[in-house]
Amino acid sequence: MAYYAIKGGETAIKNSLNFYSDLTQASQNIDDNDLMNGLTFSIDKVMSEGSLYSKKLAAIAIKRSAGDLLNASFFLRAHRSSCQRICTSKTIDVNEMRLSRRISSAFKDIEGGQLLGASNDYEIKLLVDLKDEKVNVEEYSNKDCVIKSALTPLRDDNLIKKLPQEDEPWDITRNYPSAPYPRSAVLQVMSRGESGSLLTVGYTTMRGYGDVHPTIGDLRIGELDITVVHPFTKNEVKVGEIEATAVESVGTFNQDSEGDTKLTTGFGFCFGKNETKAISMSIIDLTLYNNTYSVGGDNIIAADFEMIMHHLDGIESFGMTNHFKLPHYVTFQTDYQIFKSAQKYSEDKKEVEQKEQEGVK
Amino acid sequence: MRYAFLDEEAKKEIRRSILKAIAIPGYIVSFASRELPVARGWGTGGLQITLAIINETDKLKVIDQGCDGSVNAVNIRNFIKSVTDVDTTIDTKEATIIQTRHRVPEMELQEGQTLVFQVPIPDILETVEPNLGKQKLLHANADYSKLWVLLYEDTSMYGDSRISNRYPVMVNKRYAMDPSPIPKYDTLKLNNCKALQLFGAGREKKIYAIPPYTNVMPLKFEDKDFSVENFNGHCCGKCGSTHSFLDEVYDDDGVVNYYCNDTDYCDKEQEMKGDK
Repeated sequence: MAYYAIKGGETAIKNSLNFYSDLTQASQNIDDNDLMNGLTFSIDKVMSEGSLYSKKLAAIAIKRSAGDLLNASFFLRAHRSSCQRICTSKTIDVNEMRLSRRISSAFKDIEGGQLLGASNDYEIKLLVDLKDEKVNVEEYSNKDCVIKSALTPLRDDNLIKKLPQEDEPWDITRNYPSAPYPRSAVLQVMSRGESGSLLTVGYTTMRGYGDVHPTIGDLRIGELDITVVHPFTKNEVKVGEIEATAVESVGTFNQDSEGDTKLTTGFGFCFGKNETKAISMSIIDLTLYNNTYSVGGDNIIAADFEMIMHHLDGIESFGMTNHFKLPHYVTFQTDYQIFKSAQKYSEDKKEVEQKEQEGVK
Repeated sequence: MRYAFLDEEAKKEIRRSILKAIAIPGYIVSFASRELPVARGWGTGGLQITLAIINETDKLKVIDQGCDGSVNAVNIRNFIKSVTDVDTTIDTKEATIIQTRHRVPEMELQEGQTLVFQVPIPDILETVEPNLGKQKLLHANADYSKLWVLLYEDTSMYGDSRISNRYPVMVNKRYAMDPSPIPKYDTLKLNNCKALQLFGAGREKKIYAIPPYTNVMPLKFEDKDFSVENFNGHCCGKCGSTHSFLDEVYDDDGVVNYYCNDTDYCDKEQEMKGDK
């Protein structure tokens, strides 16, 4: 009996995995490079939510999960846990990004011009091809294109409200903070959050539950150098490059901590090319630290630190949601018993009340 | 891969959190909580505790809803075994570490044993106050009035608390604690238990503990009895036990059968009666 108890579950799992492998096997035939080059946005999303910058591992994870991107991010996170941390890189400044795309909707013209780069924003979304129009394709290299945020002139003029910044950034993977939450931790949570979750929360602000209509001050995609201090020589060494998206959005003016009236901003940053996520993140950052202007009532999710800190992580929300599939028969039975006795209690009570009423008549 | 999967820094941190939790019974300790190759919400808190405390001399038992053979129990046991190579067992008496989802074994636990609970919602106050900052403040002030009001309202409307599992307990007469979704039936077993009881919530990144021989009492009014699940006089259809938590199992003809939920206990009872 006992032996069967274990074997039952064991065999069931093995069979289930076998069926799953049949279902997903074809994805294993996809070449890693084809995936990395062909589904570049999927790779970027998985690296960002998986919180690990490796296109190669993201490709393997996507194949493993046959295109279920949340599951792929989960693979990356799990792998990340088994990696020893060797050192911490120097803080990145997105002003030093080698730009492949950079726009600002706040200004007509900006230093270096509006650089559309690779984007399908202005593509007519038809599944059939429109007539080919020949254009003279420009050559472009991002090598020398390093321009500071379009908001820099305003910042230099001291017109922009400073947001909180810790001397040492928090590290949520080593120590998860309790309230009140440091901003660096909040930004980390958002940067590895699930794109759709950020989009949803960000969108609530646009419908009245927040600042309503921010402006994109600076949106940039490009490459950033990662440097570390060499443990022996103590020199700064470049160890690699990452591609990232960074956004600064501008809100309405507000008072800062000194009582001065300033323009408000929010910041968004994520691995890879994911503009929707970075914009959403910048809007939530803006809303979190400027909630006093909001007129959408008390229920402003995007300004609620508890909501942001504990509900945006895709790995966590998807894990918990799926755990409902686990056997819950003990839990359900206890619920059922309480329900039956509560039902009996109210029925008995009703009966007594009815009898009392009849007695009065 | 490293012994017990987690890197040494992570294990150290988890052990420190466990020690702090043991030092303050029922108090919720935050920890970083690493991602595991098992999904959040599927026992990652319990798993991290087990992986941080386990060594080659341990004997591991894993149960899910009382059963060693449940798919999730099998999965977790196989994973721990694959990264530690410890001996596993289904024998409650023999095990040094028992990782459990939502049951306390029927057989009384002994000194030297550790019961590791998988916890979905670590703070009992979540029922009445979802804000984590406010929860912390309420615990600091031992202000459990909202729980008492909830209990009062339930009692006045339904004759008893509506909470069927994860019933609130007071630990060491100081902290109100969530005992994880064990049935009310198991709540009383936490009191004065000889084994060390550790609770891990991976997704919520919390650890708490009940050291051996600690006073643990369900939250209840003085003039009300604490009632647990009853099975209307039914006994186990396999071993005949009348004092164990029973599963209601419908057979193909729609007839209800009652069997012990704790499969190891049931096997032992049958062996003792010479049914095997």
